[in-house]
Amino acid sequence: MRVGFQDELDELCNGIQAEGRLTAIAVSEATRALVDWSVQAFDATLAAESEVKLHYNETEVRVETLLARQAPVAGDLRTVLAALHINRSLERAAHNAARVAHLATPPPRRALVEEAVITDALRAMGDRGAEMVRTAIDTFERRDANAARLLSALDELVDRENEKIADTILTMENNDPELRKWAARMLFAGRWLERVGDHAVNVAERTTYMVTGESTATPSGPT
Amino acid sequence: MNGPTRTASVHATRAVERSLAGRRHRSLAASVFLVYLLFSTLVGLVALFVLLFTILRDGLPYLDPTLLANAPSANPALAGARPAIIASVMIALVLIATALPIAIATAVYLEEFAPKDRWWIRLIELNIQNLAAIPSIIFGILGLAFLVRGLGLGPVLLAGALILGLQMLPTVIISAREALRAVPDSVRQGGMALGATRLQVVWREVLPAAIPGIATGSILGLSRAIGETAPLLMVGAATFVSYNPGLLTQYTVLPILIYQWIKLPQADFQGLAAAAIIVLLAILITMNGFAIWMRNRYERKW
Amino acid sequence: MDAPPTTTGTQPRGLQPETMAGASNESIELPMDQREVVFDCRELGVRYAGVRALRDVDLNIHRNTVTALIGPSGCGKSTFLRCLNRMNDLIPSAVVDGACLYHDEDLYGPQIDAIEVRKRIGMVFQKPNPFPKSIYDNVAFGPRVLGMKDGLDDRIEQALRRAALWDEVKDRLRQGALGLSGGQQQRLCIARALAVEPDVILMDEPCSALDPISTAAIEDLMTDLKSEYTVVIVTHNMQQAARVADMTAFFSVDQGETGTRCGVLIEVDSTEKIFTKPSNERTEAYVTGRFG
Repeated sequence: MRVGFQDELDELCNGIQAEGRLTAIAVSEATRALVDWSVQAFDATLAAESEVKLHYNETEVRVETLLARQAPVAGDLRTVLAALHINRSLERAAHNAARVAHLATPPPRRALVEEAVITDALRAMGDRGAEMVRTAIDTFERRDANAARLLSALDELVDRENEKIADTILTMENNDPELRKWAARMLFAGRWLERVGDHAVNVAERTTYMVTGESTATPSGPT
Repeated sequence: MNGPTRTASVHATRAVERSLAGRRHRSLAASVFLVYLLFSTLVGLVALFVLLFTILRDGLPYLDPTLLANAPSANPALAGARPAIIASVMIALVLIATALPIAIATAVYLEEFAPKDRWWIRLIELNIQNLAAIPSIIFGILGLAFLVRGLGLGPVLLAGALILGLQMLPTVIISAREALRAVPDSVRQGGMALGATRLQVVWREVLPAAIPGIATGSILGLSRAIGETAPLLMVGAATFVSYNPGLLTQYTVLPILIYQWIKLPQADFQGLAAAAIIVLLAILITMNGFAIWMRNRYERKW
Repeated sequence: MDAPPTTTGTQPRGLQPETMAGASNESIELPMDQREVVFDCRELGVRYAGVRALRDVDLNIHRNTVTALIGPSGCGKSTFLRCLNRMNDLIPSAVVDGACLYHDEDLYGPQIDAIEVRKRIGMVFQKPNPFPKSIYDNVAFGPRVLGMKDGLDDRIEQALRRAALWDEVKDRLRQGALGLSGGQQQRLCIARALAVEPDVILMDEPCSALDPISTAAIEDLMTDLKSEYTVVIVTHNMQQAARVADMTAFFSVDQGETGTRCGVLIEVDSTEKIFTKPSNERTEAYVTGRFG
C-alpha cells in the first residue's frame, strides 16, 4: 500500500541519518582542528559541513514535497515533522563545528596548567559532542523512545566541562594579552561545542516525539 | 452552571417527546389510507376468484381427453377443441418466426442506432405508441381489407397470424426498448472505449444483457395474442372447423370456439366452453409463468 | 455517430504501430519535460450543441508520466479527457475544434478512424463498468473484437497480472465479474483496457466510487503502469493528484459576459510545483481549498 510514499519516507530518514553521521564527523574533526591545530582536520570539518548543508537543503525539499503531496498523518506526520526539526538541529550543529574549527589557535604557553585544563576540557567536550550526535542519530535510526532521556544525561557532562572552562578562564591571574585573546577564543569554542550538545539533545527529543507522539522538547536558544 | 443546563436538557427531552407524539395522529390517517388500499386490491381479487370458481365448477366435469383429442361436433358428448388448440399453437409459432424478430430489430435500431434528435425518428416513435392504443377490431378490419381481400389470401390461418403479429408489434417493441434502455450506458461506453464498433458492442454486450427483459416482454405479448378474439373474427376465424388446420387453410382458435359454444343452447356446451376456458387459461398461465421464471432467473442488478 | 466497422488489417495512416506500447522505457530516465510528447493539444476546444464547454487548451502530455487533470466541476477536465480518445464522438452534438496531435498526427484529421484511436488509447471510467459476464470474458472482449485471438489465455493472464488482479481471481476466471468488489471491478476494467495493448490509459475519476483501501491499490497500480504506458487521470480529489501524478494540469471555469460558463486550462506544471508554488493565483486558490 502506498509504495511510492513509503519509499519517499525511507529516503527522507536515510538522508537524515547520512546528514547526522556527517555532522558527527564535522564535530570530531573540528575538535581535532581546535586542540591539535591540524590543517587537515580543519579542511575535513569544512568539507563535512558543506556536505551537511547539501543534505539539509535536500531534506527541506523532501519534507516540502511530502507534506504537499502525500498529506502524511499520525506516525508518518510525526516522522516528517521530526525530520524537519532534526534537519535544522544537525545543520546548526555542523555549523557550530565549523565555527569551532575557525577558532583554532595554538595556546601562547603563558599559563601552562590552565592552558592544559582548558584544552583537555575542550577535547572532552568535542569528543563527547561527536559521540552525542552519533548516539542521537542511532536512536533516530532504531526509533528509540528513550532517546531524550539518554541524551540529556550526556549533555550534563558537556555542560560541566564548559563550566570548568569558564571558571578556569575567569580565575586566570596572568594578564598577558596573547593569553587573554586565546582564552577568549577558547571560551567561544566551548560555547559552540556546548551548543552542539544541545542540538544533539534536540535531535533525541524529536526522536522521542516521533516514536511516542509526546513532546519533551524545550525550545532552545537561537544559535 | 448546572441549573440552566439541566433546564435546557429537560426542554430538549420534551421537544423530542412532542415530536414523537405527533406521529400518532399521522399514523391514524395512514392506517385509514392503508385500509382503503387493501380494500381496493380485494375488489379485483374477489372478482377474479369468483370468476375462477365459476369456471372451475362448470368446466371441470367436462375436462377430459375427448376435449383435447376430438374435433368440434354437434353432439356435445363427442365435441372437442383439438383443431382450435392446434391453430392457437400454430399462430404462436408464426408470431415467433415473424413478428418477434421484426419487433426486436426495430427496438434495437430505435434504441441503439437511430439519431434521436431527428423529426422522422420521433414520428416513428410516436406512431408506435399510437399503434399500441388502437382497438384490436381495427386491426381485424385492416387484415380483412389488405390480407384477406387485398392480397387475396382468403380467410386462412396465416392471415390471422400476421394480423395478430401486427397488433403485437408495438407492445413487444416498447418492452424490448425498455429492456435495452435498462442496460447501463457504461456498458456501451466500456465497449466503445476498447475500440469496438457500435455494432460489435450491441451484438456482443448490450443485446445479451437485455435478452431476459426482451424475452419477458415477448412472451407477455405472445400470450395476449393467443387470447385475442376480435381481430380474428374479422379475418374469418369464425368458422366451424373439424379438421387439423394448415397455414393456408381455414381455422378457428380457442377463444372463438369458446365464444361459439357459449352461444349454443344446450347446457352441455356451456360446460364444454368452461372446460375450454380452463385449457386456454392453463396455456396462458404456463406462458406467463415461463416469463416470470425467465425474469427471476436472469434479472440483473446494475 | 461512428464510422462503419473497419475490416481488420487496415491501418489508418499515421497512427503509430502497436509496438509503441512497450518499445522503449529509456524515456522514464529522462526529466519529465524532455520525454517524448504523446499528446500535443493546440487551442483544443469543445462545444456541445453550439455551447462552448472548453476552449483554447494548449497542453503537452509526455510519455511514461502520470498527468492529472484537476479543477472544480464543470471545468471541462472530463470533456478534455474524452477528446483524447474521441469518446466525445459518441455525443452527437459535440464538436471539437483546434488540434489534438497524437504522436504528431491529428486525432481529428480526416484520415483517422475513431475506432483505431480507441484501440491505442484505452479508457477507464468513473464507475467500474465490467460487462455482465465472466472475468475471463471481460478481459477477452477487446482482443476478440479486434481479432487478436492468438494466445488469448496468455494475453488475459498478462493483462490481469499487470492490473495486480491475477492472484485474486486466477481460481475463478469463469465466475461473473459482477461478483467482484468495487475495487476489484475497477482493476478488472483496467486489465480489460490493458489486454488490447494500448499506448495510453485514460482514467476518468477512477477511484471516486471506491473505498480508501481500493483507492490506494489503484494509485499504486498507476505508479506501476507509467513504466510502460502513459497515464492521464481526471480526479476531483486533489490529494490523489498530488500523490500519483508527475504533471498536474489545473482547469477552471470562466464566466462570460452573458453568463456563459466555459472550461479553460489555467496552469500545467510538475505536481511539486503546482502544490508548493503554483504560478497562477487561481491555481493557488484552488489547491489551498479557498475556491471551488
